[in-house]
Amino acid sequence: MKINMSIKGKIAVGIILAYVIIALIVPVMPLRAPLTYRAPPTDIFAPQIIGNYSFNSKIVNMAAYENEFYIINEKSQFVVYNTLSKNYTYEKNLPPARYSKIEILRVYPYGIPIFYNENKIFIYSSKELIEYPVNNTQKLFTLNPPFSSYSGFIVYNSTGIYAFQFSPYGFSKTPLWHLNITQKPIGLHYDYTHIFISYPDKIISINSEGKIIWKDSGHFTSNPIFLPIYENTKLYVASYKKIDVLSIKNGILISQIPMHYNITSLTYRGEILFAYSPSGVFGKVNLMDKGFSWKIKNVEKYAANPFIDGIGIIFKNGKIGFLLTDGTIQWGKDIKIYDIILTEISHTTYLLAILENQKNVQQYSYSGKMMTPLPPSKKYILGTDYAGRDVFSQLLWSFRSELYMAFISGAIVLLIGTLWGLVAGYFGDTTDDFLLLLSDSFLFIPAIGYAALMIYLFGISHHIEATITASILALAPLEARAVRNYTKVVKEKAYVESAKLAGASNWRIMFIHILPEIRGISVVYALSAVAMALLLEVGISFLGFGNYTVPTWGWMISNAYFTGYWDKWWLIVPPLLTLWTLVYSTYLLSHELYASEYILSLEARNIGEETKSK
Amino acid sequence: MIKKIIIVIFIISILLIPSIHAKNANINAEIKDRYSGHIFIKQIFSPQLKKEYDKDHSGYLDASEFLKMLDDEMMQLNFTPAGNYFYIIHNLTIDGRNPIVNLKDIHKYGNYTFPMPVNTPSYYSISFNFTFYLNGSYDHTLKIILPTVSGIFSITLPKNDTILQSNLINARINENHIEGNFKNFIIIKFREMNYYWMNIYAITLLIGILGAFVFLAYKFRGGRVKGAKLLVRSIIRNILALFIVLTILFYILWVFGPPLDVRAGGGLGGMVIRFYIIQYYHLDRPWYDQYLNWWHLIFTGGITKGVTWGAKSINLKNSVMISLTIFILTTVLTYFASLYLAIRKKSPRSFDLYAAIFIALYSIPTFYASLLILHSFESWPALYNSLVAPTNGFEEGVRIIIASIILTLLTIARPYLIARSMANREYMEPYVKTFQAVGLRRKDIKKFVKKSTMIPTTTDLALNFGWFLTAQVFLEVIFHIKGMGLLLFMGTIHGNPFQIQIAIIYFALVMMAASIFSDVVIYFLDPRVRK
Repeated sequence: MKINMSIKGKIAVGIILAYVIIALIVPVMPLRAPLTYRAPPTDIFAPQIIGNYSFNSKIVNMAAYENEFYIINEKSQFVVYNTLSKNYTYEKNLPPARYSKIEILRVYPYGIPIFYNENKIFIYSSKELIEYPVNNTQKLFTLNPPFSSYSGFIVYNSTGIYAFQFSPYGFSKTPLWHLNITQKPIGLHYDYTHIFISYPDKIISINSEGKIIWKDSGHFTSNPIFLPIYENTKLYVASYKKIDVLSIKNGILISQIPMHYNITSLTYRGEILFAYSPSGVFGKVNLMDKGFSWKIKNVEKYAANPFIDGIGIIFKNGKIGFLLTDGTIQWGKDIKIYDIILTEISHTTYLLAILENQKNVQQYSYSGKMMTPLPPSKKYILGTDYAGRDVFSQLLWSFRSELYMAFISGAIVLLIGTLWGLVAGYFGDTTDDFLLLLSDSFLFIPAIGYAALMIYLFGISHHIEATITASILALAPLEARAVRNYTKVVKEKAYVESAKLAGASNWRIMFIHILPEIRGISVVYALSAVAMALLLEVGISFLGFGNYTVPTWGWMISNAYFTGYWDKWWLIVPPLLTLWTLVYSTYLLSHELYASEYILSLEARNIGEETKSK
Repeated sequence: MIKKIIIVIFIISILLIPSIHAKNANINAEIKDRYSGHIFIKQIFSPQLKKEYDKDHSGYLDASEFLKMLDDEMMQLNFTPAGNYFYIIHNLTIDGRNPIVNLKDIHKYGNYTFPMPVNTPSYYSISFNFTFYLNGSYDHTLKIILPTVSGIFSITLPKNDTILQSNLINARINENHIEGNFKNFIIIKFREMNYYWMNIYAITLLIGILGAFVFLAYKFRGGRVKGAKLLVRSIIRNILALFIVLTILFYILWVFGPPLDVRAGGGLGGMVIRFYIIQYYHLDRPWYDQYLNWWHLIFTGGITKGVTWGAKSINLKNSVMISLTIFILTTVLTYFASLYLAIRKKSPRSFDLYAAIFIALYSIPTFYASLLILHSFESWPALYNSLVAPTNGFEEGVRIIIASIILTLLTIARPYLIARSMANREYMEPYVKTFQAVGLRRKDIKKFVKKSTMIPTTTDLALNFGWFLTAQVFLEVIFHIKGMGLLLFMGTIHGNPFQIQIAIIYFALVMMAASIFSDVVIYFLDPRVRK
């Protein structure tokens, strides 16, 4: 078939070819999974500020629990601020000292704050500030062994280690026990009955009466950690680029976990061990193998607490965010801050950020606010849909299902319709009457009716098969009619007559002599079937009959509509435009073919008639 | 021609057979109308068995020993309530499915006297009526599984049914009744003789009709006709096409369709309502019975009944009226608007704004276009509200008119383009040039052009009706117009075949009427056809 195409036709062919090529190369393209990929929380969650607090004087140190902020300000005042009533419920002047170097700890299960200066230790008992006369405190650890009502703290000063015990009903100011070790400890941890203290050169285990049970030497760089798991007998403590696993019964080294960084701090959340390195790496320790299961780089500082479900992080670039146990960062916010604090209100975690001016505190909700659908950006070329899925990959993956559907229906319409029309047109008479009647009958049901029937037949999730069948049923008769009319014209031509006279069989005449003449018109109608299948698919997807495991353009549009994001152009325009371009190209191509074939045939017929008349 | 009419009359007379044969089941009829039979099972407790339970070797079973034996040995029919009826799950199946059992007819014979002698056999018997829908064939298998039970079994089937085979020992067969001994399980194969013969008859008839049709059609093949004959032929032809399309519909919906349970309306729920449906549409019968019954339902209007089953109140008459109003309004609007717009322009080379707009509306998906139009009304709250949720009849009317206008806009492209090209060509014709040269007024010239333009526009409009109806479905869904399109949509969503069926029958009827109408219009418009 030789067709002299205009530029329009060439463009149409080019577009269709491009579509086919895209559909073919989609599986090897570096695309995100169209249905299962979800944009990471950092992208789709934005920090949600749910509270703003401002203070007159600069905050030097702060802790928070439930609805109370415990603040030491620049005037060396200890104040308790109630976030509900928004005023101070307790104020006390402290002796002037450098309170910024210490940390306000909280003693569980009551969450009450504890801090110290050079001469005293202070505990706020929710009524008053209780003072412990301990000189020269250099380090303070709070104690709350699991499943125990025993609360207390351990203090290290130049004379040794002192343990104090208290309850909110009474505070004993005499130490429970005293241990005469004048070396500064790195860290302290406890299990049900024991306390473990790590030093740069040794680690000791103390029982609740202050007696040393075992002692083990080594080079340690971090605090020991005991994971409170039932029947756990392992103690973890970092030693430069290794984590030593010790037995809690006798301190014997069981195994070592090699790490790639110097570890200075271990912490746990839930039943998972996390490690922090001053080079700015924080991650989950892979206890079975080595190194980190995942790691977060560029960590400047973190706020973790075994009782709080979340790790707050300040990054080196100044951003803050929440870290989940699987290593995903919930959101990042680019603000300049002085410090972050984790708090919980009614068992819900919040992050408090003290801004750089030290006077304003922002309260962030843990999960932040979901910001989907995301508009187009460098990372997501066409943005994301309501569930954080990549629209661009959905669009490209849809090429496959759409083209499959369109060209399968086109091909079958071509086959059935051509044969139907050819037989009707060539044999004429009764066969023609009967086949024409049949095609008329099929045309009595509109395409949408066939689509509904096929969906009923195949089930609601097989809408692609339903679309293919419906467009075949609706368009094959149409094609048959056109081919039949055309065959009737071609049949009368002289060369067909001569073929008949030469003794060619009917089928030979039909397929060898007539078919090449009519194939243009049959391709035109098949192309209209292609366009029809595409439009029908979009339509029935919109009506809600979709297979949600296969992305299609119709599915994308209807998804946008039914999730209420009709106004987000990047959800609607790309699939619509892609669809429209394809449909329009097929229209153009079919028009082009029709014109050239029709004109060619007219010329041929005229020539035939002229020769006849001559 | 006359011979052809004879063929057509012959075919129509075949169509009328159903009204003679199929008896229309009353929807309110009791289930007992359906295939039913009577089963009697007698369990024998042999002396050996009784001896096992005579723990004190007294030669007699006392009440507690007897109850123990019943506990262990009595046949256990697993009655499961289903409405007013029962299923016997696991024990009793016909063609692999559970029939319904009428508990009213259960009889237990417990006429035991105590103390009960061990050395004589005792009996326990049960009898019940079963009701059932069959799977559309004529041979069936009944299975009863009663492990560790032996006794006497008898079954009485409806009249004219024949028992083919059974596993009963010493069976005594008397036409539709069989009696015999069994052990552990019972298998009875039986045949519905009525449908056995009807099947042979139907297949023979079908082959005969097809052969006769092909033969007669070949024998009396005809040529061209003109004038009133053409009109008659068009009507007959359209009716024939309607018959064929409805047959296709029947095959898609009821023969090729999903399994029986789903065909009876997957979303309709309720065992009894499903039973009614099966009964009403003869779904348990062979296809020829279903088909004839289906035609009977179409002729008597019974086909509309399934629409309201399992659905919220649907006023079918209203739906048809609304849809038809929209369709007719759209047709009229499209026709006159395209004609008016086509012939009012003179220069065929000037830029055609209407064509641009219409093609743009035509080439984007219908639902998107209608949604865009609907959303563009949002800035007029009064109108928008009456479109989205009308409160009274007037607003409903407004909505129908607006829907028709939108439908016109969405579908006018093709008729407009045809009319325009025809009008353009007409303006180039020598007679128009002559009129212009003579000095005829433009208005008068338009009249001539209009007449010539009308014919192809009408022809094409008839071809475009399928597209109208498709677009109408989307429009009705988006605007929540309670028409046939919405019914089709609801039917598809809920898997209700009756709603799909009635909507498609409506479409086919509209297409047929429109086709005949366009033929009639062309007959009056085109003098070439009239002569």
